Amino acid sequence: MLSIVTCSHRPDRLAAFHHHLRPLLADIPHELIAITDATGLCEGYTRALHRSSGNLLLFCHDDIRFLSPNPFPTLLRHMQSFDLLGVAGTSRLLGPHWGLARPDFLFGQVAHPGKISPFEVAIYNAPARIIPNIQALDGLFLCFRRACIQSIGWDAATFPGFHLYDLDASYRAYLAGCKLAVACDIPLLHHSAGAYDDRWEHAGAAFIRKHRTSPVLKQPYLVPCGGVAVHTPEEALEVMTPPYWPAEPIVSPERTAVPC
Amino acid sequence: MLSIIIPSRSPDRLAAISAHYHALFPHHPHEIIPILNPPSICDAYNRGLDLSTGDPVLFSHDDIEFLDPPTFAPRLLRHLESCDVLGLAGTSLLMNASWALAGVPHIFGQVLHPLPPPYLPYILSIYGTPRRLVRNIQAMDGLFLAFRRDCIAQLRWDADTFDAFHIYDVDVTFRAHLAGYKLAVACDLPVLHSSHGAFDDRWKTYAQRFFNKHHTRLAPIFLRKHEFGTLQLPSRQHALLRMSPPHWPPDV
Repeated sequence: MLSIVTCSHRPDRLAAFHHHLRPLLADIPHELIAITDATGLCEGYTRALHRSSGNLLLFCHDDIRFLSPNPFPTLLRHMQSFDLLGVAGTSRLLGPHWGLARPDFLFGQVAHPGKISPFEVAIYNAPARIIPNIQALDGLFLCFRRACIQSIGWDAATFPGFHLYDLDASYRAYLAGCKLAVACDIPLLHHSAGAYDDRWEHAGAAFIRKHRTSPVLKQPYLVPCGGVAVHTPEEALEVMTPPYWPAEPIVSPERTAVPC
Repeated sequence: MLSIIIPSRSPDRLAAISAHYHALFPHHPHEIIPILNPPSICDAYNRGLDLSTGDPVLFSHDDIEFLDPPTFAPRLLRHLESCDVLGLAGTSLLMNASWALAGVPHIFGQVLHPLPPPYLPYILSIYGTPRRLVRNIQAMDGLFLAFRRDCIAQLRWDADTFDAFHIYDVDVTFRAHLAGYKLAVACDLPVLHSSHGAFDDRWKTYAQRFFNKHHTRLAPIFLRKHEFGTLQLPSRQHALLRMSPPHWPPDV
């Protein structure tokens, strides 16, 4: 069973997200868990974790859209090999944002609404469908094995708001020996970008104190490997499926079973 | 034995690049064939090809420098065991005479260029470096091209259509692709190229010639604004580090 957890204060946005998910999940045993009154993401996600029954838990934002027609068989296939999967992150965490790493240690690709065209694809690095040996991940999409997130937990005491919860949990999973990966072949459209305000700086300082990382507390300047302006989600999907990847393995029904 | 053909308008530059190639191949028999003041690149390369006896045949600009000399020869020769034409930058989807037009994720390779003050002294253009060797390429840039001899002997350079210094490279590599040869971009031969391409009126003239020659075989054009990765760097050492991304497997 796959538990999909979303914290949302916007009923219309949540309904639209669930409407988007349902056809994609038609053949996947799943439950949708919505937390509509979270005081912070760690608090909301912790409540959802206790309420959930899936052996895989996907914690994601309510403003993402899957661009490929079958993202969940891909997700389940990857989760047979990893404890925690995201769509953007770094293999060398330096400080309180995964994007502070050197550009060639950043991985993943995400589409956003664009300024010069309807959509822009940021390609941090997508040399393969799946990138192992990751140290920290962005929270727009985080899929955990239950054992992993149960042992790690969400640190609501240090991160009571809506920032750095993701980096903290994924980095602690890495430090605990869990296997993290970035899936480049689960293309997402994310309708918002990060907000680097005073609250982010406050959470960033807490992250530095907790993890004794580099004290550099600055807004990351994400230098993607490539940026492409596109007009439609279909075009974004095409750009996010590079020709040098091998064909996606044909997944038999048994292999789409949620791994234990 | 391998042959290296280098056209140039500068004896000094020719001497420097020849010395560089001698240093790159300390243990491999090779011949350097300089062509001074040619009327066109194709003319120089065809003359050089006729004079040469080696296999593979390397065609090189006179203003490049490979940044990691000890690894150059073994990597080059290993790559040439599995392809017919090897370059340093190119595309898997050719839409017109500009090989980079298709953009990310269809362009590959990485090239370092010098930058004038007040910038940092180097800028690295990373078109795409998903692996050391990217196959299924359709066309490549001519700053450096290595051919198996039978391939370039069959194709030769089209000196009639491209009688100057533009688009000779995209033409010959695209014809190699159309003829069924295997083209690849080597991302792990880090290079400094001292000049940039000049996309002036003459380039447009030859681009039209290229289109007239190949338009039925090109991919349909789509126009997307795109940018590949670029990094300003303070030194060659920094560049060399950045040109070996951590996601590559260790060198054999």
